[in-house]
Amino acid sequence: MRTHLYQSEIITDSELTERIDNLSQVVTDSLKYNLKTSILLAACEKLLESINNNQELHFNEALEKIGHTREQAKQIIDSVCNAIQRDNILRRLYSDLGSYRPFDFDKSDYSQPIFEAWKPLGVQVHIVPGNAASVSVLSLLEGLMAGNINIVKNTSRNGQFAVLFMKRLIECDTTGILKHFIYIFELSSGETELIRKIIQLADVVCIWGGEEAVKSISQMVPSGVRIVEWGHKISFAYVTESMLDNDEVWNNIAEDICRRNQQACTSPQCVLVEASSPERLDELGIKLDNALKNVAEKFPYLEPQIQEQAEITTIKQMHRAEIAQKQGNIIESPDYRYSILIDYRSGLQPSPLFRTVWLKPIERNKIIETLRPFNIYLQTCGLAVSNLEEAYEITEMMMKAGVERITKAGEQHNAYIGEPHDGVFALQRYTKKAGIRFEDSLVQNLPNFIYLNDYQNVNYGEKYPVMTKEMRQMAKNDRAKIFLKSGGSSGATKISGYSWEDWDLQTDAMGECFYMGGVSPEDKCAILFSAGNMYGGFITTQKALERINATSITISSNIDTKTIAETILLTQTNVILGMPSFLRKLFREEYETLKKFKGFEKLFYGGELMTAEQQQWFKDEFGFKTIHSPVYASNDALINGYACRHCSNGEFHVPTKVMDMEIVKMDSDEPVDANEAGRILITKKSILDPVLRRYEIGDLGKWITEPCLCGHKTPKFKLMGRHGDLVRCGAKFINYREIYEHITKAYNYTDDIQMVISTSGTEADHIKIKLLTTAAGKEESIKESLLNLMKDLKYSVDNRHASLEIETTDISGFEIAKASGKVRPIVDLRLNNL
Amino acid sequence: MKSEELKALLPDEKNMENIWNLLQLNPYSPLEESDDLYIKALKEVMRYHRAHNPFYKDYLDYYQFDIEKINSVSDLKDVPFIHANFFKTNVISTIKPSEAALHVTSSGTTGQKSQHYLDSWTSEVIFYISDVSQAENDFVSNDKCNYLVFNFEPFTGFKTGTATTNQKMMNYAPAEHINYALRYNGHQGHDFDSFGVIDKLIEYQKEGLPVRMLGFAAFLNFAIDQLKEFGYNELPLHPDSHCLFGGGWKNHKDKELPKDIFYDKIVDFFKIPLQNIRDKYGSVEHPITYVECDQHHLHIPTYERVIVRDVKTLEPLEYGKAGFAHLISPVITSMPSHSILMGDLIILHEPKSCKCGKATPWIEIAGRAGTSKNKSCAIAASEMLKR
Repeated sequence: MRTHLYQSEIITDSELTERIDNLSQVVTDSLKYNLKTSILLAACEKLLESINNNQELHFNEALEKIGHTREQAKQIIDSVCNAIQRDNILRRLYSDLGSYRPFDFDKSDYSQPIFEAWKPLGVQVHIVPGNAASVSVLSLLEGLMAGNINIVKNTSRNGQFAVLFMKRLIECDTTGILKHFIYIFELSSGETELIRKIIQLADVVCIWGGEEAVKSISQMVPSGVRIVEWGHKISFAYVTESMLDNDEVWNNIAEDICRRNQQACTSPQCVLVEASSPERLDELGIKLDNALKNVAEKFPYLEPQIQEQAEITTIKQMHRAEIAQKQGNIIESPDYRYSILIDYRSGLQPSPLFRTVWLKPIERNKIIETLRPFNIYLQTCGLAVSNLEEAYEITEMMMKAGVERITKAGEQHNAYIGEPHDGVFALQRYTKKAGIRFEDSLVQNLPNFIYLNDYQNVNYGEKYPVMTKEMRQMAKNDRAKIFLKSGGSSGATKISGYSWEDWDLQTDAMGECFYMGGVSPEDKCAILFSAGNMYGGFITTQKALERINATSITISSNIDTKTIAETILLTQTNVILGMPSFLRKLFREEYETLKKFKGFEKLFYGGELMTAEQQQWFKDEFGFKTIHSPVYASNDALINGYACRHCSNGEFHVPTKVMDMEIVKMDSDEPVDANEAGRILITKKSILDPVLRRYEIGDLGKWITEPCLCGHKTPKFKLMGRHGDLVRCGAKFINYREIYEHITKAYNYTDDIQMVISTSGTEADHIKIKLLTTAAGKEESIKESLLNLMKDLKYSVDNRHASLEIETTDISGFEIAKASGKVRPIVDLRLNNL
Repeated sequence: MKSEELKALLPDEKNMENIWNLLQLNPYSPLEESDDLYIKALKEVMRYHRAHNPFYKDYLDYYQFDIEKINSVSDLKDVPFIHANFFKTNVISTIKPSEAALHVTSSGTTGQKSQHYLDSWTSEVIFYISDVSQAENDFVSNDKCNYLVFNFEPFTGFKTGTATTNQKMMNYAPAEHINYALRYNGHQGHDFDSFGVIDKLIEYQKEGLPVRMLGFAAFLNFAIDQLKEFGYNELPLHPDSHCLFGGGWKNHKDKELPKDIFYDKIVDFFKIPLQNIRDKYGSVEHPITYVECDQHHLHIPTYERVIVRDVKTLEPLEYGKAGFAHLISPVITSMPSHSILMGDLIILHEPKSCKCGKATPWIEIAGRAGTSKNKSCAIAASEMLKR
């Protein structure tokens, strides 16, 4: 009995007609759903896991039922598994549509209010061939990648594989959205009324098969509906004169002939050789015969069916009549498993397949005229050349003749992820490229529509544990190509590696975040982050500016402040980007020079916090109009947050384009309650890197639930200090950040604060707060106000669990982190005494 | 044509005595009775082609075949054959085009149109064989009838083998009216006239004479479907009406009905006896007609021998096995297609195994080479449309 897949339901023939009759309404309703790539990725990942755990053996059975051997069934499933791997899906999107997020409207030129995106065409009907069980699944997957609603006209010869596979994929989708995008109907080509009804729904019809299938289906497609033909193709090998006596070349060609029994469009059906005399052609036929003898056994032979065998014999018989007229020759294997048809006349000719190959002469200067009659069918040329000059010359002519693909002879079947298919990118054929433009003011500072997408906060807690710093450091990343060192303010030097793909994704997002934070293409920006030494700050900023198309003045903080100040004046930069502690030093030391320069407009900082008082100083003294920290980033996770222009100091949005964020309680991994501060966990949407999942970045935060004025739908949070800011001492948690914020606010203090904890005696901890001498004289007042403010601190001191001291000193009295030169906020001397 | 007139057309009468004598036998006389005569006749025609056709001489030389070594029917398996498709792509006449009595174009089952030049002997003898075979199958009548020809309407200069055959077929019973389903459209082409066909069928029914429907089966099938759409559940014709098809379903292969279902459909609709519906088998390249007997079996005429060959090794197969049809007949002199390998796959059934009583073996069509739907993405030779 025939079965069909209708969304997640398996239905039988009794319901088929009615369901198809109602499909128009159903798919119209379904168009409101968005099949985000993330939904597909998650479902595929889950299914893949299940397949790898041998829990989907009914897929194998379904394939074996339609005549595949156990080995063949496994191969088909392997090929499908390869296609649904996360990185392969993402790379497909990137190669075909130029972006990992091709469906979000993107502003490619930040100086213009123009956005472009690829969008699904809507409903995609797939007409798949019989006896190619994987094509129905793979074609449908492409349709899903394109975001279309997919209706597959399957045939009985493909069995149940596609239905079972897609049903399981739907079951692996936790959002419940995927099912609205999948229908598979098993219809014979005679059921033209039902096929016609399905095609009436289509915005695009892709047809796999020969010219007859394409012709008969095309007639049913309403005009204007896009038809994508994946017709049959012919491929061939070409051997230049200089390579004719190279045995390896013949072995390679023989392998290409045998490997897939010429059932693939990439298989050579003809070997064109730069030779002309009948004697030489016969000689080359013997070379190919020897090679075929060598390799034939290496690959499983596919037995032709009677009609296919009859076709082979017919062609050979026809050729014998030509041979009688001295027009060629024939070499057959004694077991009839391969044949070489030598033809002394040039031209290309399709073979009856199953290891039947033509050997024909060709003149290099006649490549175009010889191949041109077949141009719409030409696909791959397996080329054997001896030097680059030949390779270039022949390649250019092959392209003019209509060839789509050239490989080394012997590698005609090898493909790479993201390779164009029959000369085009399939996903572009299944989508439309949309361009939109709005009033400039409406979309100012908006780089991409993704920030407007509805977003649900995630909770990975049910499935994955929290990843600690130690686990992060241990995790191996084989694909890492760029390594960064974290500053080391929080201890020993650490190194994090990223693949270029993930690096690009993250820094691209960083560029968008800088743009949203106020950097514009007109800006002239001095980058004053520390450069080299494996730091990320300088190079990520450089990449971000490139993305924005802003002017980049690559100064860095590595040189003396005098030179920096002079360079700023020389280049007339209006924007400064750097780390607060360094910027304060620079502007203090070069006060006179920089004060004179009246061109400052914007200051963007990162790496540390900057108090309101500090910001005011820069504004008052140097004329900055905007001071902003546009991104929250770290070397061990790259971008973690972005601040729109409506974010207050310390507030950020989650860049959901590249990550998800969770905030969990201090003492458990449960999500925080409303208005509760907790530990921030980062989950990155990686391309090639191992997914950084629930990584505890070490910062504390809380959600801000009020909608932001910027209109972005991305979640917003406020940083509440380092997790390490919370120090257990005096039997209580003491928050450094709370102390810091109080002193800077209440005492108008703008410099460094260091908290040193030691054991002063046998039981009590000693807390010493070090301040610069600018706070001299206020020690007692500060101590008192801190005890009044912080109940836990007061409790500890009152109960003599801890003692509190405020000390003012010059900078030499502070402990400085060697790696970064930053003042270490917390120095816990108790650790040294353990 | 009178017997002596036909004999005079033999291209080399004095060296073709056995060919003539063979043709004097009943078309379905047991093969073993004519084996010796047949072998002598075959050698005559092969000598003729060898002497007059340089291609054929090369071909025999390529196979190093000596005609004189054929001694009995057991040697037939060694007789070289040429594939039918070769005649579609090459003109290899034994006669000069200027000597042709008839120039026909194959109607092109597989898309090709090919040229054939027939000498006067061949063009007449094939009708002679057709006539004697039809007579043996009770197709000849003196009663007037109306013809509906599902084939190309002739026009001046029109040369298609099957169309010519249909002209001759109308000699088997005197015609009251003749109408064509594929009407000449004035610019070297033909269109199926579905309304005309329906009108004529209704007219013929009212007129009440026996009706004879000839030609491509597909178009009769279309006509029945069309009549049904117009509300006719049946259209009973005179019980002595006949259908005699030829030429297959052509480029309507996808709509082809299994033979028994199609015949039942005709019986139900026109109310004519099942045994009055007959197909025949033959080709322009090897124009010996096989007519279906009342059991709907295609019997080999005595002027022909058939070897079924393995599709891979080309070795002869026994009765009941499917393979290529290798047809051998001594009567064809215009081109060396007297020994030909057809694209059709057939099964040969033993002599005297048919209830109709005819003694010769009969063939069953089991498919065509290269017509299976290609399952891969590689284009196969059989499916590339001509550009």
